[in-house]
Order: sequence, then structure tokens, then C-alpha cells
Amino acid sequence: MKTSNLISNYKKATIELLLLKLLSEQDMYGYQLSQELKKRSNQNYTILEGSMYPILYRLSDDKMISFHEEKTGKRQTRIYYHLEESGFSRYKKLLESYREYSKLIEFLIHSKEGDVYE
Amino acid sequence: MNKTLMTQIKRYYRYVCHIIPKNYPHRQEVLSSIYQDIYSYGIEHPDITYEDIIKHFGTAEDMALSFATLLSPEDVIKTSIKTKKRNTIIIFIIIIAFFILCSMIYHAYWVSKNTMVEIEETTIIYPEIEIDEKNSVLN
Repeated sequence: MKTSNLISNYKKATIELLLLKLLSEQDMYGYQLSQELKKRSNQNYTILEGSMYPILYRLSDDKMISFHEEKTGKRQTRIYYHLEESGFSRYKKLLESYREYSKLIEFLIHSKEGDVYE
Repeated sequence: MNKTLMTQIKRYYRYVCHIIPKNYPHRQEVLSSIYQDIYSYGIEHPDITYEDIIKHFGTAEDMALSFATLLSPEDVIKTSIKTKKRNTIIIFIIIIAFFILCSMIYHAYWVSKNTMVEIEETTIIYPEIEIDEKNSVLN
């Protein structure tokens, strides 16, 4: 498997977590979310809009987030996403799972024969 | 943002719309949001070129691929079921239309074969006319 595919898989696993993290701080619109991730990661974590919006709309179908429109120009409206209570719980669960799983992977990488994860 | 760039943005957007399959969930909303983002990017960076847009947002194929890979398993199943249903309905309609066409052709053939042609013959019997040869106009 190419490295780029691996990185793409890691990203796939973490996009939802990171989007919920940003929305837990404040309401943001789509472009702002992708730019914020890029800025904070110093261009190391870039997310295509085609990846981000299906997740945002799925979260909105599951009532984890809601959105409202704001007019920004004559014909332009911006959609701001807002994290709901259920979305915040989901974020906490995802964060916990991620930390557990990272610990497990880290352990397995440094493990030797006979080691067992607890 | 100049007109040329706007034309190119629209061209890029149309290509993305064309590539992303029509039965994907929330397709219209996602495309509209993507367009908004491209427009916002254009406003923030007024001197960008089409290549800058591709560099920032990826090619239309990248966009469609990232769209497809991030669908949840439920969405993939729903999309696949919708596609199957639609294809089944189309095949069913084609079969029905084919049968209707065949029966219309057969009906026309049957009518032409079995219709009795009525021929009416009318015989007119004129009474005998005596021709006076002496006083006829011809003489």
C-alpha cells in the first residue's frame, strides 16, 4: 500500500474527531474549518472539501450538529455549523477511543514477545 | 475577482458536479458548499489563477474521490440499493415498452390479415334504346 494511501486512511479516521473539536470551540463555516486545520497543523493536515462536507451533513442528519445561514454578500450566504449537546458527547467518546487506540498501537509497536496490553 | 477567473471557477464547479454521481446523499448541499468555499477563496485571494484553485482544492477527480471515500457504510449501502432499484425499474420499463411495441406490430399485422374486404358491385341496366339510323346527328 502506498504511503499516500496510508496517510489518507489515517486522515479518514480522524476527520470527524477534528471537525467536532473545532466546532466545540466555536461555530464555524466550512471554509473556516478547513483553513483552521491547515493553519494549526502548519500545512501538514489538509482536508479536501469533498471529504469534509459529507461528514458535516452526516453529523447534521444524526443531530450532532446544526447549521444556520448568514448572508455575506448580495447573493452569497455562509453556512455556520454549531455543535449540539449530542455532538459534544460524541466528540468526547471519539476522543477517548482515539486515546485508547493510540495507547494500544504505541504499546504494540514497543512490545516484545510475552508482553500483554492491559 | 475577474470575469475570466469566475468563468474558470464555474467550469471547475461544473466538472465537479458532472463527476460526482447523482444519487450520492446530500450531493446538492455539498456541491453548493464547495462552490461557496471556492468563491470565498477567490475573494480572499483576488489574484489567484485556475491552477491555484486546483492546487488548493484538488482536481475535480480528487474532490469526487474524497467525497466517495468518506461516505459512511450506511450511505454506500443506501446508494447501492438506490442504484439497483433505479436500474431494475429502468429495465422493467424497457421490457414493458418492448412488449407493447411487439403487440402493436402484431395487432397491425393481424388486422391486415383478417379484415374482410368488401367489394360492392353495382350493375346498372339501362333500358333498350332504339337508335333511329336515318335521323341520327352523325348522318
